[in-house]
Amino acid sequence: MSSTAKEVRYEKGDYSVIGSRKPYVDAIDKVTGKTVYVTDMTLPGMLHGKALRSPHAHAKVLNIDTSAAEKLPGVKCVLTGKNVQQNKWGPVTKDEYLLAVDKVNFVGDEVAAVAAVDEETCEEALSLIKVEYEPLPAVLSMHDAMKEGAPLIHEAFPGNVNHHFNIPRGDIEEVFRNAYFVHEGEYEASLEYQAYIEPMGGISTWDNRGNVTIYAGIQTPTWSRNDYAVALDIPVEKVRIVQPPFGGGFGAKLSQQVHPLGALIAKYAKQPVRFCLDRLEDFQCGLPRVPMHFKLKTAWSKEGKYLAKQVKIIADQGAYASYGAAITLTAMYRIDIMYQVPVVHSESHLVYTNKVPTGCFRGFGNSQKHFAHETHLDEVAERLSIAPDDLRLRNIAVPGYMNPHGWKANSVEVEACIKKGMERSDFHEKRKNFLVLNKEDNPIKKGIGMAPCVHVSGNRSFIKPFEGGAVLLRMNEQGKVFVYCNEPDMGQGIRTTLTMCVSDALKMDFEHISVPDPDTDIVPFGLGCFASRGTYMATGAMHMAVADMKNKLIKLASELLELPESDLELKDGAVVSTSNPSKSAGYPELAWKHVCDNPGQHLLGIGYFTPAGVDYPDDKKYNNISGGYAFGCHVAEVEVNTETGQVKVSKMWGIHDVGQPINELALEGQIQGGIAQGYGWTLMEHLRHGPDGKIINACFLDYQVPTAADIPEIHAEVVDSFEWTTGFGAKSIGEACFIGTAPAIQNAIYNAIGIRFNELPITAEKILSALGEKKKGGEGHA
Amino acid sequence: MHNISYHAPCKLSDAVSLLLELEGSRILAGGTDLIAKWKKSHFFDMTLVDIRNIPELSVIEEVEEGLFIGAGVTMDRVSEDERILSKFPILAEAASKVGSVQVRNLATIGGNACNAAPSADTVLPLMVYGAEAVIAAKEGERRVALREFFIGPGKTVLKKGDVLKGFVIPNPPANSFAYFVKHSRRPGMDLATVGVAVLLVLESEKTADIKVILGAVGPTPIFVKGLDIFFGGKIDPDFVTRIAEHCANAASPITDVRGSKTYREAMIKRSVALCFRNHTR
Repeated sequence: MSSTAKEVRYEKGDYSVIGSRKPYVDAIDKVTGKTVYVTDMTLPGMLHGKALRSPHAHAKVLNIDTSAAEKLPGVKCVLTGKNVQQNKWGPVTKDEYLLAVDKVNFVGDEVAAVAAVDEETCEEALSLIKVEYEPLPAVLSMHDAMKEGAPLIHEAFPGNVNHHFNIPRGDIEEVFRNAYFVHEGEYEASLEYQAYIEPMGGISTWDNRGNVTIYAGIQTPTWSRNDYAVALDIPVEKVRIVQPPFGGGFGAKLSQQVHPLGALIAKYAKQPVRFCLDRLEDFQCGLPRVPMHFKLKTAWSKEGKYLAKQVKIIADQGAYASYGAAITLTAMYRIDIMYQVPVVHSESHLVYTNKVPTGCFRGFGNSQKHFAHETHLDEVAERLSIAPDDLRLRNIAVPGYMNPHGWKANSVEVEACIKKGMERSDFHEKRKNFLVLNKEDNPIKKGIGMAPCVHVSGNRSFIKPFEGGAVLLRMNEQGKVFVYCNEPDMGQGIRTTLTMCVSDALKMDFEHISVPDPDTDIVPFGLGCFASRGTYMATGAMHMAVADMKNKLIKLASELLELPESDLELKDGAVVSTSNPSKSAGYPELAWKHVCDNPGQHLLGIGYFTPAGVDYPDDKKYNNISGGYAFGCHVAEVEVNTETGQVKVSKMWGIHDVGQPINELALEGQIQGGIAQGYGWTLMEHLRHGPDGKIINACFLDYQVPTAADIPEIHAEVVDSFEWTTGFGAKSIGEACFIGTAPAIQNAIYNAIGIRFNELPITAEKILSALGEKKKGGEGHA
Repeated sequence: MHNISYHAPCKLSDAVSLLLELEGSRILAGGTDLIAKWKKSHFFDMTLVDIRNIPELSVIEEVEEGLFIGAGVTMDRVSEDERILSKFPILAEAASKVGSVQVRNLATIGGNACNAAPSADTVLPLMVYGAEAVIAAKEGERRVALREFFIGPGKTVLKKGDVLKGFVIPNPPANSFAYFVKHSRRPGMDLATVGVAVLLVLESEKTADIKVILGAVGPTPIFVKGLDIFFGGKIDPDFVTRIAEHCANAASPITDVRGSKTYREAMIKRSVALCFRNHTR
């Protein structure tokens, strides 16, 4: 189906469970330690796997001597890139071996692997492997990658450029020439680690027919089978992935090196192998956020009309490409659906460096762009003497807005988000008060800042012939409903979301509803958990699946009770006569009747969903990529200590347009979590490489994430909204709630001390040093 | 396999004997530094002598000169003990700022000193209050002023067979005031970027004695010398600026992941100044 599909317009229903506050259905097991995570699992005969990692940022591998390691008691196999069957693989660019052949490209690159009876024996075996390297000059900065004479990392990519995108819409130079005001700025977003609670890992086991099962901490079980099959050089149908509960991902756990490498080790060990990274390895070789440098140039009318936007990006891919191309595209233009800008020009270079490969992380490039763009807009507002919220409101998207990329917004309540954010935080009054207050002789300066934000609910940019989601409901002979879906849970609560939809539509208790762990041998096809797609896609499909099951239940009851279907309704786990409520048939009775009438057959509810008006981008990156653009507005109030440079974020407001909320409690949790993580990125977190390419803060003492003592008081709220392209009206929250945080805090700091920090993170040291410069008479910029 | 042997004597003399007899043996108290170090250094072999069963190491008792605190007393207890809170409030304050709740439940005040990290929080108040380390050894007990206890990062005067039994802290003089500042990147679960402890004795509104200890800005905690030039002074803004400057000159901070040399220098001045400003407030 494509944009030619007929206009879809779902209406808001009379919900009883949807929109209420429900604790996660798996919460009690998690907090009491009953949940078995990937790291906790064991299989009979299971061995442990470990990889030997390059100590060099860039080097030729001349020779590997594994003989001593092979002789160590307890070692089952020792592998190198040259003695295994493997292919280069990657989700977008196939540029990475499971085990290096001839060359290593970052500190942490896998050169050899072992399987042994326990992890200690693995470690000992690794210490016995002798690798002869010839170190090569390394590229350690994205700004150096494209320079003349820079060391080449991948032969196939001259100039170390993995992708160059150029998307012009309209004659931008003409607009710049004639505009009342043109503003330029540069901004840089840093390397941030996802810091999920469970490092990457999986357990792999092969049968005698060459089928592999991987129990994996993964967000995209079905789709990643394709990547892993390439790496392992086997047909996709031989790869089965089971997704047990796992400790979070935030984007890092789409296709990862760790799963196919674990499977490769298990293949040669001929026994199940557990291959789980320790925290140091996870810091070294996870897939942290893609750092980006932005040059922004915008054109404005005197009245604050946004006329044109030009963005030039350099994005740091690290040693291997992962999803960098899609992430960079998002950074280029995703925000263009929030503002009505007629002329936009976006260009980017995605470059390789000899550092940790970077990948997906909450916001997918859009966070980086919001930091740059919403800082830029605050600068413009000041220059034009227009209030920051007012400047945005003068250009904000409205329902039905079609942007220059062919994207069409359906439900849009961003104006309401901004207005409510201003009102709840008492923004303008505080700005007035702080202006007076900050003149006093007090080292604490106060500020308040805001930033609106937008993200998608699913991004139609990955697979040309496919977009959408599916749900299969199966009612067993006791009347219990099982939900099979490939929009999986990674802690964000979709299991509870789906349970609530079934409960609401089929009028049954949670205890009779189960959402099993996804198993790619069983669940319908689907893309998995990324691009904030889960709720929008899965509840869209669920809406159809519950309707299907409802019809079947009513039909069965009509036969059993000998009453017309029109007289029947669902109530308290039964089909009940509206005219004579004493006549009813419970689901167990109906389910058993179905199994007996159709020997063995369970009652099925089938649902699928294609977002209307969404199409795969053409070769000019034109066409609408999402059916549900989700919006929000973040406001931050800060206190800057001018003696230490430390920032205390005293309060934050997250006001969001998520369409119809499904679980208000989980929604509030997401907003709090997104703001907490965004706070860390803005003020504290920065994964740093030393001059030798090694990460210098690869532990939680040195790489600091916020603790409960740092997190500001957070006010989370949603505005009234309903996304009419999906059955239950729900859009997304997972990424939008992160995105607005950094620019809101940045703008608040500027309001407090009159200095902008265009490079993340904004540390106490940077602030103190800039305050010192400002005192000396420097300009208010850092 | 991890190669660890473990001994848990109930008598101090047995602990001393075991440490002398067992090659490469080391003391286990709270383990919060040791186990982290062991994990970071590829699980080296260990012969452990656990001292937590030795009763006299976990007592807090009033003695003639002041208060004895056993080396095995946990940070949690130090931070909540009424005697410490009333007589040595900044020691309780420093203990309450070590690591996290979980760390404070295990970590001991003796371990904090024996680990000899320049950033150790509780060492600063102990030093500023003039505490002595009580050391048990085969030949008997001896006392070493804590000021003489540290000889380098991770290095103390303790020899093989020595067990730090505890600290004796003399009662602070009348009309004395103590202040402590831990400057860290985040409020919880962090090491100090700069630590400062100040003990101030006043006589008719003028300074009679001043002691300042600096943490995390040199190879060992620093006892700032030459403060007698500030005796007999009145604490005004000029005094605060000069003494902060003097203390910063006594330090030799380095640049590391927690902070640069320049930032640390600024934070020494600011933290020292804060102590004195807090007094005048």
